[in-house]
Amino acid sequence: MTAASLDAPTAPPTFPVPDDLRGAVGLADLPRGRTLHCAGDACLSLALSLVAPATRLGAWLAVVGIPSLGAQAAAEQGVALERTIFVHPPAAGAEWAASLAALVEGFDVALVGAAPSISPTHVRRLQARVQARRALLVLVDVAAAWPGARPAAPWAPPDLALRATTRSWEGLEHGAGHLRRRQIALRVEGRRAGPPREHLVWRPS
Amino acid sequence: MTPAALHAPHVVNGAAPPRLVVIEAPAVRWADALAAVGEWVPLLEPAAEGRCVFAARGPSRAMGGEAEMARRLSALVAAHGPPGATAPVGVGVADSRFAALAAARESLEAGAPVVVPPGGTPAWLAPRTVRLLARCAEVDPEVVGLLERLGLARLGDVAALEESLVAGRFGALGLEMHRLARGDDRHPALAVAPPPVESRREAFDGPLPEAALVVAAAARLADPFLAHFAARGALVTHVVVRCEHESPAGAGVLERAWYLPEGATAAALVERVRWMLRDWRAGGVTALELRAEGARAATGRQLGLWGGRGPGDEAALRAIDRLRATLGDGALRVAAPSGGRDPGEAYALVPLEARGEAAPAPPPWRGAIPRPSPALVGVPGAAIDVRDAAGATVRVSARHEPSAEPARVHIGARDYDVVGWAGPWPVEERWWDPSRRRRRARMQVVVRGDGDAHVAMLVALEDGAWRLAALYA
Repeated sequence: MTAASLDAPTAPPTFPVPDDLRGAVGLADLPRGRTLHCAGDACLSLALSLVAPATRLGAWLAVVGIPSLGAQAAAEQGVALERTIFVHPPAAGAEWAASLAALVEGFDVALVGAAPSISPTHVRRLQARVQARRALLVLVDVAAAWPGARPAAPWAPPDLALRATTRSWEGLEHGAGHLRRRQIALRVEGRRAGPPREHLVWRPS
Repeated sequence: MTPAALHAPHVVNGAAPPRLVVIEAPAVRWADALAAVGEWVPLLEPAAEGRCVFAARGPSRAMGGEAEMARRLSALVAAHGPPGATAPVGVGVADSRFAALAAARESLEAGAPVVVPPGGTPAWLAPRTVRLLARCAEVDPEVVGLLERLGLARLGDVAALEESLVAGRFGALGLEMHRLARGDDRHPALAVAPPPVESRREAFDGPLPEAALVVAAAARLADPFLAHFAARGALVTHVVVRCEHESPAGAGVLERAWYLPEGATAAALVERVRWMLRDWRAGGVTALELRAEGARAATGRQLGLWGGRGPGDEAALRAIDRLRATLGDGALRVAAPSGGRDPGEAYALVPLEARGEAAPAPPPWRGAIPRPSPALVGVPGAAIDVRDAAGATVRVSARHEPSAEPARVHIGARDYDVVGWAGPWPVEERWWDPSRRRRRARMQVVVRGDGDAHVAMLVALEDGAWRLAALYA
C-alpha cells in the first residue's frame, strides 16, 4: 500500500451535523439518501455549514446551478474545496435531470440552486438514485437571499425543510466596525424531525 | 513546576517541551530489542523498523538521569545484535523529535549516546547542516539544495531568518523547516479547542483469539474516533493504541504510541494495529482502545482534485469524466485561490482542465473585507441605489467619507430600511495607470427585508453608481 492511499480519506459513513447546529436541527447526522431544503435569507450559509463536516471527512460535493457561490465563504465554513466541483448543467429539464443523476453516481452531496422545471417522473427517479447511492440532495432557495424575495416551493419533496432567517447582526456601529456574526432563527420541519420548531443560533458561533 | 522549568527557554503555553529519546539500531533483532526497551518504557512509539521514540521522563527517573538511561538502554539494545558481535546502537535525547533523531544518528556513528542538554536544542542544531532536514525530517532534498544555494548551509542560518520571509519563499513547508531548525516540534500546538472526547474503547464479550478479529475491531473503532476530530477541523497526529490481553499466564497490556504527522486515517490506524499484533503470540485480546494524545488544526491538506486518491475519490472522478464527456469542457469548475480585495476575488472558479498545482489558501489581502465572507458574490447586477434620509444618493468623498448616513437601499422597485452599516472602505487599483485605474468605495449595509429578516449586503460605489457586490446569504 502506498503512502498516498493510506492517507487518502474515503467517504464517511455518516455526515455529522456541526456541533453548534445539532440542537437546533435535532439530528446528530444528516439523513443519507434523503433530500433537504434550505430557505430563508441565510439559506446558503446554512447549507454550506451543514455539508462542511462531511466534505472534510472525505465526501465529495457538487455545487449545481449556483454560479455566484462565494468559495471564500465556503472555505470559511469549513468546506473542503479540494473535493468540491461547480457544475453548470444545460437549462433544458430532461438534460439537466440527466446531468444531476450522473453527478449523484459519484458525488456524496449535491448542493442545488436554481433548477429548470422538470417532470415529476424525473424527480422521482433522481430521488431514488440519491437513496440508492446514500447520497444527500440539498436544495437551496438561493433567490430567497434577496430582501423581499418570495419563498419558492422546492422542486423535489424534501424530507427535511430548514428555514434560516437572520434576526440581527453584530459588529456594525454606524459606519464603524464590520459584520461579525449574526443571530439566525432556524425553523426545522420534517417527517423525521418531530413537530416543527424554531431555535436561535449564532453564526459563526 | 520546579524553578528550573519556569526558567527553561522555549516555554510553550507555560510547559517546557517534552524531552524525547530516539533509539536507532538498524542491525539488531528489532522485535526482541523493542520488547526489552518496553520493560523500561511504559509507552513507546515504534516509529520504523529499527527505530523507536519515547518520552525521556519516566525511564530517566527510573535509571537515575538521562545520561545513565541512554547508556543503559544502548547496552540493552546492543545485546540483541548478531551473535558474537556488538551491534551499533544510536541513542539521542533532545527537546524535539527532529533533534533527537539527528542526535541518535550522530550517536550511531560516534558509538556513544548523544544527550543534548535541556533547552540546548536550538544551539545544538545551529552549526549543523541543513541536510539533516532531508535525512531526519523527510524534507524534499531538492528544497534543501535550494536552501544551500541561497547560502543557508546551516540550520542556524534558517532559524535566524524572519519567519515571514521563510513563509513567503517556501509557504507552509518553509514554516515547518523554520520550526524544525529552531528546535520546535514539527507542528504548532493545536490551534483549535481540544476536542472533548479523546478515546474510543471496545471491550470484547470474550477474548478474541485471532489478530484478524482485533484488526476488524480496530477498523470499527477508527471511523467514529477520527470522525469526531474531522468534524472539528482537527487531524490526529499522536495516537496511542492500547490492547488488553489475557492468557493462562495472566492478563497484560500492550500499549504503543504512533506519530502520524500528516494526520491519522482509518487505513493508517488499522495498519498500525496490524503491525502491533504481528509479534503477538499467546492468549486472547479482551479490549482495544484508541486514544488521541495530540492533534492539530487541519489546514492546507490538499487531496481530492489534486491527487491522493481513495475509493470514494475514484467514484467522484469517474462521474466528473462522464459529465465532461456530455457537458463539454468548461462546464465543470473548481475553486482556485487567486487573491483579491473583493470577496469574489479571493478564489476564482476556473475550468477543471485549467487548474494548476495545489496551492494553500491565500492569505487575506490588505484591504480585504474582514470575515465572515458573503456566500453569494458577483450577484447579477440588479439596479440598486443607496440613499440618505432625504432620498438623495449617498456619495463618498475623496477622503472616503459618506455624504450622509445611508438610510434606505433601493432594489428593483422597492426601498428597504437600513438598520446598520459600516465603511466605506476604499479600493484604488492600478493607480499608476490612468487608463486602467479603478476607484471604488465599498460598504456593508444591513437592511430590513420581508418577514423582519436582517439582510446584509456588500455594496460598491464606482463612477457615481452603486451596485450590489455580494449578499451574506
